[in-house]
Amino acid sequence: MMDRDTAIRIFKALSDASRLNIISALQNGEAYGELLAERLGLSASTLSFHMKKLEEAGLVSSRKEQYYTVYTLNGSLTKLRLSDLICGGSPAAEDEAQRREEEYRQKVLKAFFEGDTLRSIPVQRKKKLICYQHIARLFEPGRVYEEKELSDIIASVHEDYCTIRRDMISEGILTRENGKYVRIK
Amino acid sequence: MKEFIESLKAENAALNKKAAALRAENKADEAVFATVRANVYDICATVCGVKMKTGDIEGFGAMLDRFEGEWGASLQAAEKQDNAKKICVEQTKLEALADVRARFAAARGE
Repeated sequence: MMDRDTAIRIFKALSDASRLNIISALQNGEAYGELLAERLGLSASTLSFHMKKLEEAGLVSSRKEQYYTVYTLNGSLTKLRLSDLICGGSPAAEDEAQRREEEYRQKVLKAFFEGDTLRSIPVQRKKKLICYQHIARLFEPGRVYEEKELSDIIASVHEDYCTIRRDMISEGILTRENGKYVRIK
Repeated sequence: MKEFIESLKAENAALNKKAAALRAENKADEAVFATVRANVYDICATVCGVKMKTGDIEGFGAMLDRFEGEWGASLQAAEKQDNAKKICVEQTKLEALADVRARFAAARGE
């Protein structure tokens, strides 16, 4: 039976119009990356990013042919029924996964924070997200912050407040509109 | 140089518009890349404006070099980590930076 994490990875991979277009194109048969990018109007780096997500979810596989990469759809997964995906995983396994996740979160915070100060911005996205979520607790959800106020708060945690502010927006932790910021998660 | 700054601001506005359109088309990741690209033009326009006011336009070129070094290092780190999103973000930033550099050279008649 499929576990819950795998099902979530599949749903996340599919929740994007471009990736659905890629899956749809691959249903006609395997294809070269360059050809797919051209057909779907995507840059090589963007296609490569989408393919990585689809591969991580197990929906697509790839192989090298000289300088080119050929992508193939994993028919056994794409033919699954929605109910097979939704019903995978047990509550006990989920609890265990949550416990492990919390343990990992604490480990990352201990490694990257000294009190309320961020020692350095992690390179790995998962660790970075954990640190940004930790910084986000300094903002009241739903309250509107002026740019200066928000920057001052982030700067008290780490001097590179511009990068952190930008990343927190692109990761969907904060929103920015007309120079005002709101924490959304 | 004012025209150069205006061209960066125009590119920033166009890319923010494109990001909003991509978001509306349920292409969230591509919208993030468009926003990242837009931010590069925004930062460069702001810094160039400051450098122009202080009469240190050479300092803007030095800043471009510094950004290229830092973002190149981030790209290498992301490649080592096999972090697909970060790789794409850093490549996008470097592409936009190369475009800013070309516009800057053209504005100076180089």
